[in-house]
Amino acid sequence: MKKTQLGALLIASAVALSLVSVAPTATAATCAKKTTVTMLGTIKTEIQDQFLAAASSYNKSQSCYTLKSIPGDRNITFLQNVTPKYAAKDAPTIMYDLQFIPEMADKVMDLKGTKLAKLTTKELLSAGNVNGKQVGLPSTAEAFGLLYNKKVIKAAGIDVTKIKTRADLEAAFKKLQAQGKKSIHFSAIWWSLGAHFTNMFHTTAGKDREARLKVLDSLVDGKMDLSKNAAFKNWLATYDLLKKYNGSPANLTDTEYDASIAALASGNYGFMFQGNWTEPNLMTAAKGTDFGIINLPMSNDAKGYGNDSIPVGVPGYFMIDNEQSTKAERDGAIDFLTWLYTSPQGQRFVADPVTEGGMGFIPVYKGFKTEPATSMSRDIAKYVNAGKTLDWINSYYPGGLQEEVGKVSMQQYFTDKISSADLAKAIQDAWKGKAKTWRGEAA
Amino acid sequence: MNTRARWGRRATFAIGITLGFAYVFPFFLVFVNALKLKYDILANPLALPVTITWENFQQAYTKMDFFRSLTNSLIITVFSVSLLIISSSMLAYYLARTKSKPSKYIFLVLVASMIVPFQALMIPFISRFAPFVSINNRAALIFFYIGFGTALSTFLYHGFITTIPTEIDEAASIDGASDMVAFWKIIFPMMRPITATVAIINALWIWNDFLLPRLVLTQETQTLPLSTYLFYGQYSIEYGQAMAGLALAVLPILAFYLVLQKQFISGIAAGAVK
Amino acid sequence: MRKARSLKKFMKFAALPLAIFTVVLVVPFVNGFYYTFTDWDGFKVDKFVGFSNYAESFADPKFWTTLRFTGLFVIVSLILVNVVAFGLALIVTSNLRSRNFLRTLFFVPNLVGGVVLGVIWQFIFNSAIVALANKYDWELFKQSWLQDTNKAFWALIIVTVWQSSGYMMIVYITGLVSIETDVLEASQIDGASPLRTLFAIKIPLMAQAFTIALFLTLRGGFMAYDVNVALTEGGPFRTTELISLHIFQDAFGEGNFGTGQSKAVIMFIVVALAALVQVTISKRYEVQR
Repeated sequence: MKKTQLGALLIASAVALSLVSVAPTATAATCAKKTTVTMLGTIKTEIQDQFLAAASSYNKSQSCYTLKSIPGDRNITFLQNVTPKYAAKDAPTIMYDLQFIPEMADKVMDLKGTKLAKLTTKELLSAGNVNGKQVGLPSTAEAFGLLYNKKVIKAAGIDVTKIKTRADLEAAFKKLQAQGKKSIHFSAIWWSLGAHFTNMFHTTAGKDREARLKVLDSLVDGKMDLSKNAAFKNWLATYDLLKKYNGSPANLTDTEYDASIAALASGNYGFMFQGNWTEPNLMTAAKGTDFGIINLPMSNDAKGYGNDSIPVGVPGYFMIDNEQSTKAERDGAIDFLTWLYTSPQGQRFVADPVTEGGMGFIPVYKGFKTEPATSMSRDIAKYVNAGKTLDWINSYYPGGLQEEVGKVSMQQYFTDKISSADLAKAIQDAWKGKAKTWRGEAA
Repeated sequence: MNTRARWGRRATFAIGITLGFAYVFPFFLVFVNALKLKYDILANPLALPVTITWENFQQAYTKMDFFRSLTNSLIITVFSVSLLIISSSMLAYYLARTKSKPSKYIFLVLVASMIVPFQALMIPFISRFAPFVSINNRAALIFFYIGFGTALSTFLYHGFITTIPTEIDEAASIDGASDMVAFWKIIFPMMRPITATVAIINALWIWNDFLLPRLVLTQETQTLPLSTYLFYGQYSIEYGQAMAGLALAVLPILAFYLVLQKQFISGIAAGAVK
Repeated sequence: MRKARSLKKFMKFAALPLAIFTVVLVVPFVNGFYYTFTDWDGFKVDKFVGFSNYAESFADPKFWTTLRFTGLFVIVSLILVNVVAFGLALIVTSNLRSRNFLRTLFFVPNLVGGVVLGVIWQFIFNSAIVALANKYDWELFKQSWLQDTNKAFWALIIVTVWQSSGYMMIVYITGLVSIETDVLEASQIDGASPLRTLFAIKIPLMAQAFTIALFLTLRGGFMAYDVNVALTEGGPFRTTELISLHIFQDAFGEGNFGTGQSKAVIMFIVVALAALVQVTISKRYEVQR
């Protein structure tokens, strides 16, 4: 099964990795001329400082290339940032994105056969593969699910490992209420609803990947009636449960992200639906408190598919321009990425916790010597090691779909503006006629 | 003064002072929250800081590279505005004094161009000027501002020049002055009030502009408004630093305004009467 | 001979500014217009597609709702900005001792750009007002105004009024002080009430100030982008997207560059017509008096 492959990889990288040690690239070679390699933005703004520190450390470590980040704008999409650059014949050499990989496929290098591609697995490479061309290299693995405040959950006498079904979850919610706590902070942020929460349906819509992708096919062909789909009904029931026990007023704007972190950190809430990328923020907001992550049950059957697993996926891929860059720039780009993930220095920037100047990433390449140090990444490692991971089908959503669904129908249902039947129809309409890009096709 | 008038005055004062407070309150909030920690701001944005922290300002100051950004803003604004004044006053003078069909049409095109949405130009525009931008992006930006600002500035000058009697030009040319000399020695000094208008309107626009500099400038040449955006993450916002950054970005223009208030107001006023 | 001289004058005074204007503005505009008839994808052009981009734009129901929303926004903001600005102008031209101080305060929002203002106000609407409302139990403000389509519309209007009324105030001050004092004294001697003086004498005598302020607010309303993006982000449910933001989303959010560019051209025509109508009506009023 495919998910065990991913599991195997993460075991290899995150736990038993010391067995495979990769010699640091010995590039003492001097260069006639220094080449500047540009990257659009950084990986994400939250860990911008750490990434830039890594870049400047790389620049000092060798004499051939200078990596330079050119600022992007978080208010607009990746495509919006990159189009003017291409139009201006000023394309950045390194780009980092997930949603618009199919659009970029014909403009970037095939990274098949690079050292990094060999150090990871087919599984982790798959969302960055278009028509057999390896368009991108993964940055890390992330997971989303139910995050919880360990202090609050412990005080309420809840054993999170026993939460296997929706009914179990409701019982836990009630225990929290009995303690005078609010059960869950359920965020209405559009990307959380549009990409991650909808994924909970798509990832449980079939027991193997092909079955799940067939659901996407039939949505595109307009042949899917979601209101008759068992997984969808279950998903709706979970959605309703979270809405019912949501202890905070809906906030539909981007300020919700920080507000939700402040809420879970405050100790007034037990749970929150989010991902492990919030961990550094949570730990800054509540010093001395640990946070964990468990699965979000999608049915009332303790053995139901997915109830014991969490969605683990790659949040973004590095791509290297092939149209407007020089050979030297492309070589530099590959050299930098290889340094970042294989040299001891680079690996520390990748895997060290944010508080220690790293990016806090879960490694996705073989040869890492750092073990996940934070509470949530250890939780995720446990799921991964047990082979209990689910797909990020949201990696395959067509460009613009998560905005369309997340900003409109999902937020409308969240605030009781439309019925569940309307929601099903809106999701069907959003998918109809979109390009099928989930089996590696270009856009 | 009778009682009714006195009460009227008191009511006007009450309304005026309430509104005045409302107009500056958001800025007050920015300064107050700039002194607080991120999660204190989220917990209660209206509370006064319990313990004042200057760390936000220090962080913002270094991250924004305040002096470099300020210098960039100054260079770009000063050069753009000065060049705009020179070029559009000359163009307006020519158009106002040349009574021909082409000159009338040129004027109409200029006026119509004021309602072209920037969105309609953005991509075709940037692809055309790419090589120029990559050589010197500050110079390129100044050049673009001259192009985009020509219409409104010329329009303002045009309105003013029509109020200057042509006899003055004629007298100058009888005295044997060339038209260039006549323009700069006699006409241009007469247009001081409208020059102030053109300067202020364009300076406010260029100083605060966001979309165009974002397309053209790099990190080294970023302006103050661009640098304030550094504190907004993909998902998370560093509220304290963002507020401090905003405060730092607002302070120079606020100081400038308070010093030159009279000129600001009378400048915009001169533009209003054409 | 005369022709040569006028050509020389043209070269000296007008050629350079006009060349820059043409290169920066006219050429890209024509270029963009040409793209609307092609299959342009933001990167390259393959073939001509005739009017199909325009047909698609008009067939897009979202485009129509956006146009209606923008129309409503322009009308309401036009009225309120000018009413408030005129009121402010009356306050600061009264005999209050604090009038100069107040004038300074009212103009301050104009010193800062729209994106920055939008961010500040989003924070006020989402956090500050909600915090106050919960403390003092104000039902109307307990839920952020940015969560509700109608209230988010008013939030946009409030910020727009707050931002641009100070500027328009100055336009009106100019109009008010340009009225000769003997006209006002005459009306006072005739025993006209202050309100009657305002409507019968002051307003008609400063019609030109209204023409300018109305034109500026009309143009500002149609082109509003910064405040929209930074304050409501187009939400909730994409119901507060003004036309500029809609064009941006269409072109860059979903990659429909052809229709995005066509909509920009349509927007230009709409704004041109609206401005023409407004200026014609205002001018007629100016002449009549």
